[in-house]
Amino acid sequence: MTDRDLLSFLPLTPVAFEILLALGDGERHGYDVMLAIETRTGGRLSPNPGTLYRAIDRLVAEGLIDVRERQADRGEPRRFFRLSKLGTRVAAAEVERLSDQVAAARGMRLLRRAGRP
Amino acid sequence: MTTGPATASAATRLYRALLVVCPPAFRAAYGAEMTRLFRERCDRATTHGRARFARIALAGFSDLLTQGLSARTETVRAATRRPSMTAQFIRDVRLAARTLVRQPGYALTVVITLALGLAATTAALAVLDAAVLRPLPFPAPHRLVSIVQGDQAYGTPFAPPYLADLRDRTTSFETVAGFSPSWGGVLTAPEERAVTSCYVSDGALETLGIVPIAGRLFRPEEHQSPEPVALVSESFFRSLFGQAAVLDGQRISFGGAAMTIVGIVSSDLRMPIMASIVNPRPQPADIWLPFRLNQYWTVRSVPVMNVVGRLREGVTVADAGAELAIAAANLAREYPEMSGGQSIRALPLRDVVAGPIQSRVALALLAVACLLLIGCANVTNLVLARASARQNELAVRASLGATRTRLVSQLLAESVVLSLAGTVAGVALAAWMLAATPALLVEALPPSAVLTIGPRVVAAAAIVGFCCAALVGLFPALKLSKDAPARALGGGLRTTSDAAARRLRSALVVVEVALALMLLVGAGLMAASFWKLSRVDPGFDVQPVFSTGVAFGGPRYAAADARRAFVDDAVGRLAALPGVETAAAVNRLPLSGANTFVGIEVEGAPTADGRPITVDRRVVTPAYFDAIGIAVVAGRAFALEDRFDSEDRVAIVNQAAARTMAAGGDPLNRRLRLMLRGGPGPWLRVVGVVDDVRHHGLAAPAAPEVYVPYAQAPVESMVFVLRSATPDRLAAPVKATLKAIDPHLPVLANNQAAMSTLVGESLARPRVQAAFVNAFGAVALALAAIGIYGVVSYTVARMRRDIGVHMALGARRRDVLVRILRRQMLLVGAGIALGVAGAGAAARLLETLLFGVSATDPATFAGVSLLLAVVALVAAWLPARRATLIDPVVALRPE
Repeated sequence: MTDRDLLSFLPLTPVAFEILLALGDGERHGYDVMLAIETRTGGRLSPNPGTLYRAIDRLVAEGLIDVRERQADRGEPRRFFRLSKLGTRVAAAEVERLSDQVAAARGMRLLRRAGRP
Repeated sequence: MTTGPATASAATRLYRALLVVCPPAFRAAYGAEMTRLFRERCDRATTHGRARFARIALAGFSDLLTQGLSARTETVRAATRRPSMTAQFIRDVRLAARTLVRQPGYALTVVITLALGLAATTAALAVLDAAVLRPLPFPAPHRLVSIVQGDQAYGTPFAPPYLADLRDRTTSFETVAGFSPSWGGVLTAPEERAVTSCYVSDGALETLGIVPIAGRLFRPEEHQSPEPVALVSESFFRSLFGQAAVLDGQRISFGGAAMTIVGIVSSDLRMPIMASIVNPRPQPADIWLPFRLNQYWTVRSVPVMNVVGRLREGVTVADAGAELAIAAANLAREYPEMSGGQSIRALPLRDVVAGPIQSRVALALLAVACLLLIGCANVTNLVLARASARQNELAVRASLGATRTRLVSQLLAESVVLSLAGTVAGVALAAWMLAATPALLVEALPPSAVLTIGPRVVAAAAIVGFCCAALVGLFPALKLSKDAPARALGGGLRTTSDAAARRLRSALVVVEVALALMLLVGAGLMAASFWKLSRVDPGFDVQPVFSTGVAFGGPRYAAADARRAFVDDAVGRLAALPGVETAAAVNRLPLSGANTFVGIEVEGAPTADGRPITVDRRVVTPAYFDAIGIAVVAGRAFALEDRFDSEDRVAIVNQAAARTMAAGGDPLNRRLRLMLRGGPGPWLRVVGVVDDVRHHGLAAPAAPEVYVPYAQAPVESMVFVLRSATPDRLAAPVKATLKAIDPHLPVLANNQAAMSTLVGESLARPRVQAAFVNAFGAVALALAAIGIYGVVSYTVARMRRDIGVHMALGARRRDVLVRILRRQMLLVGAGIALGVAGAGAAARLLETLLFGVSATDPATFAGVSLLLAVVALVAAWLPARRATLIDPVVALRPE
């Protein structure tokens, strides 16, 4: 897949990007993904189940994450998600895109003008 | 304040039900996990208080709805390559939603009106689902049948020994099992209290697929072995041994026997048939026992066992019925005295438990349908008024090339958005309503039914909501879209379809009045019936009577002499209490639901079919009739000389029994004998006739009764009856007196009651029903009044110019007013006529619920018609009068 094809996935929605980030350090199930997002954002982002699973469904359909059904520690089997190769590359491309934008904004001293360090 | 787990569970159930908005594939993949996640979020929120919980739950619902709907849109889009009608319509829906948000007053009025109607509808649908469609939450319910004898609609139970006969003589069933719910009894250890028990044969709980919460069900050998064991309900177990207790071979003493608890079953466990001949008032059981422990286990003459069978795969109810008919014929030969001429039938269990309530559910559905339609009529009028105001906008669109389909789609989209919002609000409201339903209404459901709002109910409610959208939106949309091009050309001219709109509005008034009248007739009849019922003379004195029960369990009272001694002593001491005028005792109180039916044989008067007359036997002490205020109409009451060792065995009959046994002759000094467990009892001489008493509920006619003196029939439980000016103050002194005689005898504290309480309970269900139907009637009346007000307001607003012209030409204000009102009242009259016809047709459904009032009671029909006419007149008069007060000059200004 060329870089050009990768770009067709971008930009990612905030929730989609957070999900990919949450899966960055390994496999998780849905509830775990939500907790990871909450922890990372300090509670500012806490996706509702509908939003979360809809985004997951889309990412699965696009092949950015893989699903595996597995017995959790207790109870019924749960679906576990992890980044696919493609997903890792798309996430990286999104990071590049964002850092590019951030660098541009820094260059224009946007933050300083807005009174932020 | 925190929110309980029950609320979180309810919210989760609703969430699960709402998942229907998601596309099926998505729901199948993630539905369960989404629900789990939602539950976890709710649980976390509950610790932060109610407001936080509500916010989280609402956010979850709305997120689910948006995401689900948008996922559906996506699916639809993926399926169609070009922007299809559907996609177009979805765009219209979005546009409509945005438009409506800008007009919150209009949108809220419509949504609230629809939500009220749909909430009632959803609740009624939930009842329909639980009570009629799926009343048996057991595995393979269609194979469960109730096996009964006799020719009454739902048959009668069997005497326990017939269970073995039925098993031996049939091959249609996988299992045949028996049970008998709602037995009273006394627990003596670990503490003393009155409990309810249910006796089950081997296989009864297994046939119904019941799984214990802890421990196990009975083993087959425990239905035979002499070592007594019991199952208990969870709530009972917790109340005895504490919240944290675990099942660990605890023992209880019940009915004089010590037994080990082997399992715990759900407190919600209800046998599918609750009423039994020994106790028609259904109560969930605390204790479950092997049937062997029941006193009638080997008695062939007392029918206390409900028998259920599970049909073998592929066997029909008719096959089983044919086999049972043969078994009945054989049994009749073998036991001529008991089964003679009795048929044995298999009835689908579903029909037995749901049959009696079907007409009530139909009635409830009819009532909510009326309410919903009245609401729809009001909303149609609003939609029509609003759409008329948008005519110019539509005209512009039409002239810019919008096709009629596009215009209709756009107008319909608004109704869809409104009714969708109405449905969601309605379902939420219904969930709340069901949680707050009076227990008495739930009690009327089949005992095993589970009343919840599941996906089926939500789906049905959504369909009804969609139909409402079509109903309230379609006609205005069609009419206006037809008009639009003409209006584009003709400016403010009136068009032919203004007349059509006026006809529609007239029709709305007629329909609303007709529907409201039907509901009001129902409400009026129920109110009249309740009033009649509350004035029934129960046949005894209610106010000055206090009662308290004792039960003689255990070996100390095994001898009749011991029981007699206790009762004699207690009656004497109780009569001496301050404030007590008379003290007596009876085995079964009137209206308590407990009765003892026995057959009697009258000397020299055999019945036509050779079977004994069934009477209700009551055992009383001499002062009973005096204490409770039952009049002796002939002969004498019992006296102290009617002793246990008297040669002369005596009885007193009530007037109903006197009529039955003496057939017009004098019943005094005739002899009769009771058919008891062990065979016919001794001959009893009738020494008196007393007045009839409503023993079986205020609505039931008095049944034949035979009273016998306690001295000659010392039964095992008695209720003391005290006549006093201050019955409410007697509970403590009475208990102290009885405890003073025997500190170990259980006094049934929960059986202590002033007689007025029992009469009140007999009225409770009719009262709740009447209140319920009346609330419906009041809402219907209000909605109809609002509807008429709205239609007249709108009509006279449109007629402003005409009115102005008339008045400018010299018409008097009064004449104009009369002209408007005459037209409206003609419509109201037509509606009333239609409603009377409809109510007359629907009254059949009400008949079984009414007491002392005919379902076509002319006074009620006339009364509510008049009430409705007056309310309608006021509702029309207010806007009409306002219209005639305007200045003709103002009215004639161009619009």
